[in-house]
Amino acid sequence: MSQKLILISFLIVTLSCSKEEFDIQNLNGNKISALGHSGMGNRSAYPRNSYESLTKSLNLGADGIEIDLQLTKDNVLIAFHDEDLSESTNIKGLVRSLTWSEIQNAYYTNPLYTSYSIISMDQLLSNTDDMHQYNYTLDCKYHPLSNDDTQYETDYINALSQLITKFNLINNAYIESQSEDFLRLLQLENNEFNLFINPYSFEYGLETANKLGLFGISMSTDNISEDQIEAAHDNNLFIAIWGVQTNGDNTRAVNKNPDFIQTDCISHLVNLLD
Amino acid sequence: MKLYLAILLLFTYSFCIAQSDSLSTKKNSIYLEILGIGGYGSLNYERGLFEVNKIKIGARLGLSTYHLTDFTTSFNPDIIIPIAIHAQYGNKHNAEVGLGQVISNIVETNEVTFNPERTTNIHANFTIGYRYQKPKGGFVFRINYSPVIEFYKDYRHWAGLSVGYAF
Repeated sequence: MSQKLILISFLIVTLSCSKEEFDIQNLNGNKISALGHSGMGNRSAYPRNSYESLTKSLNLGADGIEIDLQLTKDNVLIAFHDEDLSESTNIKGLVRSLTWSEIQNAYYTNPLYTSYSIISMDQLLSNTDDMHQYNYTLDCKYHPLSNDDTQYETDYINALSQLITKFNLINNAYIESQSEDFLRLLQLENNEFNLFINPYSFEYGLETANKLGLFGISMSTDNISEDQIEAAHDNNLFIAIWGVQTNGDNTRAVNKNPDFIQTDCISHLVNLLD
Repeated sequence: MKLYLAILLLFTYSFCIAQSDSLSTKKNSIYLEILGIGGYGSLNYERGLFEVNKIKIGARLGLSTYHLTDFTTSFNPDIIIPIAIHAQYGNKHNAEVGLGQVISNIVETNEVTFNPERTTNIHANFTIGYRYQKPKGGFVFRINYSPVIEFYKDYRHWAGLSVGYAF
């Protein structure tokens, strides 16, 4: 009886330690790039897009990071998710209505007893060691102050273009947007930009990406199937998937063969793909 | 702020010396608090100091953290120490109020060098809630509203739930 128990225990330990094998076939050299969603993701004690969160993700072995990008009143690109700063920091106001010097001294209000800072893209990239070994998915959060804020688009595109030029990121930056018009303008600015559409449906994304000649489609893992990813690959379109929140989601996402996975559990995904 | 902390510690110490023999309820308890003044959770030790009729006074010391490694992945834990004095009224079912401090020692980014840097701060808190604990000890359950005055500046609504053992 005790020998059976020992044998069962041994089998459980052995099986739980064995690594899962994946037959990855994609456009990314049959390799999936593991990206930290806003750094360490939504479940981390670090605030999303904080320097601590983004940097820790890279230091844990991520191939890159997904960053939410917003433009301040004085046209500084910052890593920040919410449109209104009061949702997660100690100051009030829309990002677009405040200057960088007004935002720079703000801090995230969670978790308790901490005062993690908001950072600009310039600060992040200037302080990332071996910057060019990583990929940067730049999720452009598009929040003009009003519908007739036509200068916003121009300012945003100029700031983004200058950032990519300054840090020579043309091969490392992947730009995401929900807006077809914005992607079209980015393409006019520089047709070498790697552009992803973040569409409301796969069919719309496939049609738009083909029409504009985009680099790829970015979609929630819940809204895209393995067959749809294969269809995108047949059209020479890369696929980035997000909304990957758990270790189980990581495994399911890898089995779909995307090119990029933005995950909240970066350590697990790095180990899974190692 | 430092004066407040000194008075609190002196108050705790003097009660420990003078009144520790007068307790009829189990004096020690340990409990795990979810959320509460430790942040997202803390492990706590509480010592009964003084008891008159149904009123019991105790002091609490806890330990909590958010990260054991910093953003460079080096072992460099955040340290959060909740300290408080609690007063409870009742026998098995108790109303509880408390007042205390939290010492936080958090690893953040130096704004100039962008290297990890520890910053220490003190925060105030109070609690009001319900506590289940039999005088003879055993299972402890606490639920409370426990707002924090973060950095002695920002009032933050907060709450906690504890499960532990008295002995």
